[in-house]
Amino acid sequence: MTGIVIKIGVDKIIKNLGKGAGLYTFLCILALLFFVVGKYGNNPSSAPEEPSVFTPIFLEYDQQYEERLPAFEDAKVHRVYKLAEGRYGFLVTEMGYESEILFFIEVGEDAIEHVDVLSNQETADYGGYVTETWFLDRLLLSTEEKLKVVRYRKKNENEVVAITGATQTSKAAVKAVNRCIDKRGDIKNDETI
Amino acid sequence: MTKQFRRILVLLMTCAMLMTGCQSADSQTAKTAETTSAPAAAEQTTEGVSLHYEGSLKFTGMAEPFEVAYDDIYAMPFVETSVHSVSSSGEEADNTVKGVLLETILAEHGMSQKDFSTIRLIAGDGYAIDVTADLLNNKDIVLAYEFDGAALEEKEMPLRAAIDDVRSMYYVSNLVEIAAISEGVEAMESVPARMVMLETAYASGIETEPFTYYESEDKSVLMSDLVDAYVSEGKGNPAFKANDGFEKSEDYDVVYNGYLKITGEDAPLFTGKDLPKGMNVKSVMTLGVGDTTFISVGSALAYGQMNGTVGDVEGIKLIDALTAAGIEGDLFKFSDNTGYEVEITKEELASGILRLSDDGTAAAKFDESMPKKYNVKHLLTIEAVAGEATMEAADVSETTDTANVSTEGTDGDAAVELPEWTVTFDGLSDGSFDLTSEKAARKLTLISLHTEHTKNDEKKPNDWEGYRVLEMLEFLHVEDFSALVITAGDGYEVELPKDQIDEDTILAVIKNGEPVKADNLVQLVQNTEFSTTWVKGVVKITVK
Repeated sequence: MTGIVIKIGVDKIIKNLGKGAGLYTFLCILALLFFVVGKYGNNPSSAPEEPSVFTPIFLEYDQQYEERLPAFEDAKVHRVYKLAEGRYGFLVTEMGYESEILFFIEVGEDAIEHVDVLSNQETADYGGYVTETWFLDRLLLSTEEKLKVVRYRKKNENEVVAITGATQTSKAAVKAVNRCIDKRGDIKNDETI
Repeated sequence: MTKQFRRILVLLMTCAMLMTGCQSADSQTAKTAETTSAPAAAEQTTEGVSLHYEGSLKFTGMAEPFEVAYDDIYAMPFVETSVHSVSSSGEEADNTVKGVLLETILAEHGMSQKDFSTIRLIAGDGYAIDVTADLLNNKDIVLAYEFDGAALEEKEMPLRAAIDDVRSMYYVSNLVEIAAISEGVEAMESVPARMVMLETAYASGIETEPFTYYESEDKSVLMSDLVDAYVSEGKGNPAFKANDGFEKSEDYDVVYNGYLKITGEDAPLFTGKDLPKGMNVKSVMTLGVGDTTFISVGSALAYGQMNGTVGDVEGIKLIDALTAAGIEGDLFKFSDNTGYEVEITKEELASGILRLSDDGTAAAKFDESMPKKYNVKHLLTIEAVAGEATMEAADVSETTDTANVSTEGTDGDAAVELPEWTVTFDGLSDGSFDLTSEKAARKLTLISLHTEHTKNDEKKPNDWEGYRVLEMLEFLHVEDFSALVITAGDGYEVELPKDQIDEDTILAVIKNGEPVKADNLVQLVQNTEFSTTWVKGVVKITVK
């Protein structure tokens, strides 16, 4: 389609240049320029954009997990892999307090099975604890309902006690998990159709 | 295709290309805006170029509150100075800051920072710190917009406080408000009259709640419960002292709505549900609220500056503890958590310490020259009282090998000096418990029992004084039992089923006005016809 448009435009320009139809020619040239610059100016390829700092990690995981489900990926859920029957892995980014955090989250039939932090630049004494097992274990809950961050004490099953002094980072982790819960639901729905 | 038609077609395609190109350009611009971090409403510059930040710094609590636009602050005469700070972990930092003195801004409104006893620096996220008179009178407070030649980071904008040679907690970023707590007049505060031992308070009816602190599952109490239970009057600005020397005052409402984490790392630790972590106070040693000072004996011991010993028992000197709590007086009433009270003079305090008992509660311990009744277990409060001592200390002229416990006769007779004894209660839900004569004298009621038992066909009347076994069981929180095994020192045992234990079953210590015999000390006595169950020399009672 693009080639056809350019060809027609160029043909017209040449033809009208020869005939001396100035304004008409000018408009065609302008339109052609707009089209080309607007479409391709900042994006030389048509591939979807990804945070470049995480691309090596994505590629590494692509090599590790063969079955990828791009139909379920989006701007935050960068990779969806089928790990086994009823078990899926997600590479998810979420904004913490200081930085974008990259998680790898494994979701089983009805529970969060595993959470890893692959990249973060949170402050050491605050959100930096997001990589600690004692915090990540708190996210290993049922996928029956979305998780919620609380402080100091949990009263319900779907609650996650925040890292002391790092509520925002904790919320980022919970958001990432909740995205995976949604995606898992989408996959289940797709399987039943 | 006619010429006209071709021209129309080309025009339509031209419009389509224009729209497509513009849409792509818009989406690129939007994506660029999302992925790059634009400075927030401020043009970060260095010297020579003007700063800009939307909004104004609020000054509240004054007689006439006012606001100053940040841009106006940036345009004011500035200072550039070196400052030194220390973090809570001991890390030191030296910076060169550039900004406007608080004094400069206040002067424009006819005020000085020395007019205030306390000002509160408040950040946009709610973090706040009180700057008290000792700093206000002696230090410059710089509202800085540059640190070490560089503009503040976005999160620190528009201003960051800087004071030389103080803790870094005063370096409040994202400064949005400066609140005067009082204006030229000393805030009305209650003089502390009471010291509450936190460790005993926790064990005395204050509800504890689970509290997750990093990876640890600890316990906490609500500050409101402590304040409501023990503070009689006054609010003021609660004052914290931690055992590393850290001191700060805090807003009353912040304290009242906060928590005290009482177990685990950094305990006692003050925090609040939505309080920034920087406002937490770790290892609280004392907390003054109104007319009450709460003290953590454990934290004070860790402080190490008030330690003392009585014999081989370590604790904190009573005199020093009361001084730290700001409690003055000539006479003090010591109260435990059962209502027991004893008055002790200021002079006598010098012989005593505060210590932690095995059960974690606080206790007073005095040296042997002092009456034993001063050694209050489960010590809850020490209160300054007016007047002279109403209870005279018992006369102790010599130290004897076996310390005596005085027991007043129930009919008002002169006290009978009794030898010390211990009966071990076994089979309790939490193990065993040694009930001593001293404990019994303080915690239990000495009752009289008249018996007339039959021996060798003769009626033998006796008047006993002792402690009800059922009251002992109640004191030990024995809710139910099926039988008691009474064991004597020589191994002799009697098992009494529950239905044989009644209000007249006592451990007697006095018989006909005299202590029970030296080799007996404690005798189980019942108001029964025969004395077959009257075990002499009881040393143990096993609860079944």
